[in-house]
This record gives sequence, structure tokens and C-alpha cells, in this order.
Amino acid sequence: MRQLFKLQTLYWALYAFALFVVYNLVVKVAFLELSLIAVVIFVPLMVITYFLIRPEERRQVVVFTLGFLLLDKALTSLDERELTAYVGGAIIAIVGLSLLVKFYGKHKWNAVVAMIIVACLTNFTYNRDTLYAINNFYLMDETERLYKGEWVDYFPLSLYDIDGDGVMEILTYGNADEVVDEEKKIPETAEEKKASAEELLYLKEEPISLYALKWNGDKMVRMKESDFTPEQWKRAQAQMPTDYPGFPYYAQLNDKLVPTVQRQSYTEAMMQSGTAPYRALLLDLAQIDRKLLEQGGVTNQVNEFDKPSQFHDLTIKNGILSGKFNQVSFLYETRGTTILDTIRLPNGDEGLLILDEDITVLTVKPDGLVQEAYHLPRKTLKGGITMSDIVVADIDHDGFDELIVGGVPSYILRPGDNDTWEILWKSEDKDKSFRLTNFASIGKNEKPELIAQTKSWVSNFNTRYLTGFDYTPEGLKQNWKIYMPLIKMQVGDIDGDKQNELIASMYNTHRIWVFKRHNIPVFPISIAITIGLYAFAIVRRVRHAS
Amino acid sequence: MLRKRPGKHLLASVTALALLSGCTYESAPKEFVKLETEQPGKTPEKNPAQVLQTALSKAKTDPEAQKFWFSGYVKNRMMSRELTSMFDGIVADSDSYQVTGRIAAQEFVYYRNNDDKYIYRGGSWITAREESIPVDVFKGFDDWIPFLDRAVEMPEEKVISTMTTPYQIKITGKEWVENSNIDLFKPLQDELAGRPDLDKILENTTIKTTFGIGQKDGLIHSYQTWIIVPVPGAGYMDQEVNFKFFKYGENLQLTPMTEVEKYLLD
Repeated sequence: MRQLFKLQTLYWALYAFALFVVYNLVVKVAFLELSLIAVVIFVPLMVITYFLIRPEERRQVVVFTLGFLLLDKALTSLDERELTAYVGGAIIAIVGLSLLVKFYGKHKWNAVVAMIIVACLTNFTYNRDTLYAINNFYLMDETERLYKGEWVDYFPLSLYDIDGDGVMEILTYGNADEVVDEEKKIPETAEEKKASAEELLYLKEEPISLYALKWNGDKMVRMKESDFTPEQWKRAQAQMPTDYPGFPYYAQLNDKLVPTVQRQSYTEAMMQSGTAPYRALLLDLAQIDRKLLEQGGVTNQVNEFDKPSQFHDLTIKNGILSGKFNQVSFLYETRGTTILDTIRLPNGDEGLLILDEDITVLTVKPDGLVQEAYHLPRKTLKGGITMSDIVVADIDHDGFDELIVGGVPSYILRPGDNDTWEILWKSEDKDKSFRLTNFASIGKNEKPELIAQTKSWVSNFNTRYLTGFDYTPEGLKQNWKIYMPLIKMQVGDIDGDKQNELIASMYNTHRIWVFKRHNIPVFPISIAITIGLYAFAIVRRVRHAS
Repeated sequence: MLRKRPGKHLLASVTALALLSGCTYESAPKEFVKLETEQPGKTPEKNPAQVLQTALSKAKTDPEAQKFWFSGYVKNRMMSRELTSMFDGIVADSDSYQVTGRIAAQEFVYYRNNDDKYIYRGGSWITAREESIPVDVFKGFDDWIPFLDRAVEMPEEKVISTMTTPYQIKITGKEWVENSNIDLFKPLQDELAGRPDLDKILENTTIKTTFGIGQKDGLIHSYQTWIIVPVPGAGYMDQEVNFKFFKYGENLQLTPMTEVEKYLLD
């Protein structure tokens, strides 16, 4: 027992912590960014490291190093869904690796205890996903899965201060509280088989609700509709962007996702293959018709923008855009379906961005005459605009707006003279991962940054990591990176500390992650620890040699 | 610093690691795609309506054309979502087919052999219970005939291993619905008179259909329709309906009934 309180225990604990930092914040990052090149760098480095250790200590150090890293990995990989398996797995890993380190590594118990304590502290005292973002962010919270279903890959996310208390609530759709988990068992009786067949045969209706999540000082909690006034709830519902999950095979009707086809009948219909496009159009129109009826024939409507604008009370109906510019009413024939945003043009005019098959910028003269100031045909952009995020922002801080077309490839465009567009920046055609998504300020008094999904510098895998950039004439300068494939990013103050947090989801997980920015130079510190570790090894080796 | 040039990878990578917060993505060449001024396609050498009618007639009568493989999908691209339903399988004769399908990311197999109809899902076969429509794989093709006088012939194209001559038609959704004789469109045609909103949607919808007819066998080998339809509040949806028919005449057989019955759940 006494040996536990020796200085050596602290040394081994410090060594374990240094190993944790070096492995998770340097080696892993190197492999994520450099792929096989990291192998070329680290294999020789490991060989050198092996010979740096004094021969009589080599076995002890190597066994301790492997034991700690394996224990760290084992504790990270535990199945969290079942408590017995979780605790049982942790005990087996701890006991097994402790015995290995103690007897094969010939360590004293103090080193073993140091290994266990550090491994437990680095696994059970915080959310491990933090490590993917730790260079610039820490993870404030991660929700449970909010949707229990088979097929929706993601729902939209939005931030809105529903109750007017100065902090944003997170809005999304889900059904985790509405769907009861049923234990699945193998059907045995005729009745059970019939019920199981019924269950498997049809595409089924699913409940779906607006989920409002609020920060309670510790974590995100779901607020009920009854926590708000009916007017507040209605405004919250209106904040959700138009979305068509499952289109055209499912329709979102009030609080349900309803299938519009069934497997047998739709397959038989498509197997009259000549009629397939006829049926496809009819299925599309059924949903479009429902939407139009729901909106009184209105294709799209924006009463006011969430920024100062002279455009207001805008409506597209039956191919006519109507609205007011200042107090002057105007009408314009359009093929547009969506009123996107307003844009500050180089000549000082304010333009209105309309999404049709292409993108059109309209200006309104004082007498109400509407002019098409700019037209951006989708065919001029490789990858088109159908699946692109369109963002208007003053990227280069010159007082006029640019247009971000966040597709594959992504473009930053500046309106030029006489209905022309200048490309300020464009991603590589062959880079299928890069996709600009937002322009926002994250943290305290940070200037707005471009946010994009990017792959690692070298790897051929198309996993998209979230990355922050500044625009410069030379290119996009990287500020930070989160090694998680996050989607649907939103930026806003959800805890009331006047700093913007980053809120995002991940494809097919239906969880929400909330990150807060910090200004601690984690990566340089990690590099310093790595160098320090090697310096220590060299000093010990040299001293021993002399 | 980085433009992903292979020769620079190692240096770039080490620099990236060392200066993780200082990397710069240079712009790719700042060029727009040039718009084509000429319409693709040429005046057909043969009468497309005649070619299609011959293909359909052969599909009905030629014993070799009664068995074939097919691969079909409907790809819907809209608002950063891409949802694809798929229908791949075999037609074994004029009364039977087997389809491996996927609708809204949920996979299944549909087995249809005369009056025997089953769906395979979750490891079991289940008796299909909905009312059926007739097996008629090439139904609906002749409804394009009224539009074929405006078809153009596209450059020849290989479908699997068969060289085909593609014929292409481009019309608006409104033209398609108003001038089509197919029964499926009748309710829509009746509704349109009182619906200026829906009428405008169809007016702004673009339809582009291409048939690929085998140069040697004269059979239909490909069938692709693009439907570019305005969706309220969501821009335009690009929808592609695409079928390929191949290996005509190959000796094909459905899963034996005994296998189906062995794993029949109900």
C-alpha cells in the first residue's frame, strides 16, 4: 500500500497521461489527415523510440505503453446500451490488462494502479467525442437519438428563441418519446406469425413531432409544447425550413410521416415499366398538390427577412412574385419556387434572390418596375444548384455581398458588371467531399468564418469533417477542424453567455452535438508534450550511456 | 499551400500536421461551364414511332424477348437529399418476375409467379395481400407515340453489351399531361382546368425521355426519363426514372416455390 504514495506512481501517471495526449491528439490526427503517409512517418519513429529506451527498462516501458493504450481503447469501445455488459466489459479489460502489465511487464502495483486511474479518468469523466474537436472546441452536450425509425437519414435543424428569453432553442423533428421500444422475439404461434408478417409487409406510418431543446445549465432537455404559448409554438413551427423527407414515397402530414406507396403495389406499377415516368410524375404532383392546398395555392412566402431589408411581404403564387420594396408594391412573372434572400449589390442596390431552375437576382426601381439584374444558369456551375446550399454573405468584408453555392464543387461568387459573375474561389471538381455550408461567427467576438465539410488532406476516403476557414485572395485559410462528419450546422447562443455555439447533427444518427469554442492552444501543447517525452527519453539514454 | 498535387503530398502533409491551423485551400481554376448553344441530337434516319412500335410488337411476339434481366431506379435529387428507389431483377415469362427492390431505404424482394405473390423481408417470405394489376412489362411505351414526331436521334450508346440508337423527346409537363392518351393522366387532366397553381407547376416542368433501341435485335434496351419539376419552397427536383433491359432470351428462372414455401412466415 505504501508504494502507492511513492513519487514513481505520479511519474507513471504522468507518463500514461502523456501517452493519452500523444496518441489521441497527435498520432490519431496524423493518421486522419495523412493516411498511409503517417505510417511512413511513425513506423521509423517507433523503431527509433524503441532503441531510445534504456535496454533494462525497455520491456517495462513497452508493456506499460501497450497496456495503457489497449486499456484506453477497450474502455472507449464498451457497449453503452446495456449496463451489465458495460460494467462487465470494463472489469474484464481492467483486470486482464493489469495482470499483463504487472506480471509480463514486471511492474510494481503502483504503476498498474496509475495506468488504471488515468485510463478511467480519460474515459469516464467527459464525453470522448470531445477529442475529435478538442483542438478548438469542447463538447457541451450530445443528445440521445431523437428519431426511432428505419429510413429518414436526417431532419433539418434550426435555432430560434421561442420564449424570448434571449437564448436560442434548438428545433428539429423527432419521435423518440412517442415511439415505444418493443422487444423483438421470434414468432412461434400462428397468431404471432401473422402479426409479424403484417408488421413486415407494409411501409408504415410514423409519428413525428417538432422537438424544442433548451440548455438547462447542464445539458439539452426537451421542452414540451405546453411550456410555450400557442403563438410561440406556432412561430417555432414556422422557423423550420421547408423539407420533404422521403419525397415522394412519404409525406409529412402534421404529426405523422405517411407512406404514399406500398411495396407490392408500387413494384407492380413500376414493373409496367413504360408507365413508370407517368406514375413518378403523378406521385410528385400528389405531394406538390397537397402542399399547394395546404398553403392556399402559394408556392412560397416571406414576410420579412431576419436582417435589415427593403423587401417585405413577398409571395410567389401561380407564377407571379408579388411584394413590396420600401412601400412600393411590385409584381413579376417568375418560374421561381423559393424566395432565398436579399443581396447587397456592387452598385449599392438591394437585390432579391429567387431560386428557380437557376438563380435570379431581381431589383426594384422606385416606380415598382422589376428588373432581372443577374441570372446564374445552373448549367454554368459544374454540379448544378439542385442540391446546393445557397448562402448570401459579405465574405471579403468589402460592404457588398457574395454568393456561396455550397455544392460539389462549391463556389464563392461575386456579382460583377452587367449581369456577370466573378468566381472568387472554387473547390476542385475531383474533390467530392468539399462542400461550403455556412458563413457564421462562432465563439466570442469572433469574426464570421466560412464553414465547410472537407475530407482530410491526403486520404482518398470521402469522410467529411467540419472545417472553419477565412477567405483570403490566396485561398481559404483553415482555422479549425472537427474530425466528425457533422451535417446541418447551425450557429447561435444556446446558453445565454453571449457566445455562439456550434450545433450540428450527423448523418443517420439523429443525435445533436453542441460544441463551444475555446482559445487554448491544444495542438501546440500536444506537440510540446510529444517533444518533451522524446527529450526525456534522450536525456535518460545519454545519461545511461555516460 | 495545398492543391492535392501528388508530388507535393508528403511535404504538404507534414506541413499540415505541423501547422494544422495554417493550411490554405487554393482555388481550382475559376471557370464556369460553357453553355452549349446547339441542341444535341440530329434528325432521325428512321421514323422513331415506327421503330418503337416494331420494338413493342417484337417484345410481345418474339419468344426470345419474353425472358430478360432488368435494372431500374427512380432517383430523386432535391434540397441536398438524394433518395433512390430501385427495382432490379428478372422477367421469366409473360406472367412472372422477381424484383429486388428498395423504397425509402428499405429493401425487399417481390416475387410474382401467376397468382403466387410474395414479399421477402426480414429473413422471411410473406404472402402479398394487395390487389394486383396485370403483368405487362412494356405497358405504357406506346403512349409516347403521339410525341415521337419531335424526337431527335442521339449518338449511339452501348447498354450493357448491346449497341443502341437512342431517340430523345423534350417537352413540358403541361404538353405531356394535356396531349397524352394514357388513362393514368385522365384524373389530372380533369383537375387541371380549375387549378392555375398546378397548371403553372406543369408549365414549368421539363420532361426529357430517351429510348435506346437495339441496333441488331430491334428491342428496347434503355428507357430514361428526366422530370425536372418545381417543388414549392424547395427549388426544382431532378428526378430520373431509368430502366435498362438486357440479356434477352437468357434462360432465367425465379426462386423455386419450394424455397419460398420453406421460409413462408404466414
